[in-house]
Amino acid sequence: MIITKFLITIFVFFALSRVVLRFKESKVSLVALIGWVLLWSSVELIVWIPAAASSVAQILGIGRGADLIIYSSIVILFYLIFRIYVKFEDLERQITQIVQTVALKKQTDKPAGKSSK
Amino acid sequence: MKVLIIVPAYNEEKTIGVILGNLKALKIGEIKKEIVVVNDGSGDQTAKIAAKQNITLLNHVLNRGLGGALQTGFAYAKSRDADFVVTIDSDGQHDPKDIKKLLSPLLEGRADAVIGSRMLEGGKMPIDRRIINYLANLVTYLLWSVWITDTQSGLRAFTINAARKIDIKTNRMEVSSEFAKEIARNHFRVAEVPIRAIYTDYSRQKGQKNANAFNILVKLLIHKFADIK
Repeated sequence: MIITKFLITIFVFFALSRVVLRFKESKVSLVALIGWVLLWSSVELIVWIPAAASSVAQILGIGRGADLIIYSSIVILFYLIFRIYVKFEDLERQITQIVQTVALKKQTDKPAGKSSK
Repeated sequence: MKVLIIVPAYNEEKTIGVILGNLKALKIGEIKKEIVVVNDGSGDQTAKIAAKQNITLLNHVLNRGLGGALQTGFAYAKSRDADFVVTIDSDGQHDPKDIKKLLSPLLEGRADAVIGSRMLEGGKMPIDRRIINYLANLVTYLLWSVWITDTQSGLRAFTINAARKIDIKTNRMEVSSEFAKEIARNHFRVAEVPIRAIYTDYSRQKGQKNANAFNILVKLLIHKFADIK
């Protein structure tokens, strides 16, 4: 059990270092950095002091600490999917803009169609 | 005066020739017309057939969907000296003669945007389409507080000033509801005129799929609540 805890801790530190590096490269905002640090810190807390999850769960009116973890994971995953979806839409729009620019550029290289009554 | 007619087309080799022939034959009094086909990355003969007609052809190197094609059409319109901009489907669903009806509220100065509604004369639309259409109108109303009897209509007309203000962001079929959003955002005076829709197996197959409705709803919600540039 203790080995699992150490492995999770190593992973958490790895994940945190990636977030900090991306923050230093200005690829992640300060708000996102704080969010990720809070998230991974709470993972660490729960790994080493599992009773902490149960106390928070009781405060929130959720039966067990394990349930709290599952519920919050689902919420976080939904949020991340939403973010990816938004990013995807953003990329789609950028591709359209490129395609549009190419189409209009090619047109300006040619004479436009005639107007007719 | 001049009207610019945007015809978005994706794999429409069966119908595009006839549509363009009918559009070219259309007389709208003294109003000149420029027909702009946006070939949306078709893999068939659409571009070749369109290129043989004396029209403006804009080619997308990739398929971007109806919204993407209309964005290109509007971007082109903004650089032209037209007075009105019309959009019409290329699947043969619309009667080009209805364009005259669409332009009259604009010519009379009664409206900035006109939607050709298939719901006003009733009876012709298949029942499943009618239900989906009503739900789409309802969603559009809830999101942007504009009631249009046929938000999904592809036959629309705008004054050039209105067309210049329109900023479409969606790529695919959800663009139809986005026009309602733009009408609301820009406070356009909107008119609806009854039009005749010609439903064939071909146009039904090419048009919106009923099962697509959920996907469209999700995208509209994303665009309502997320800030997509």
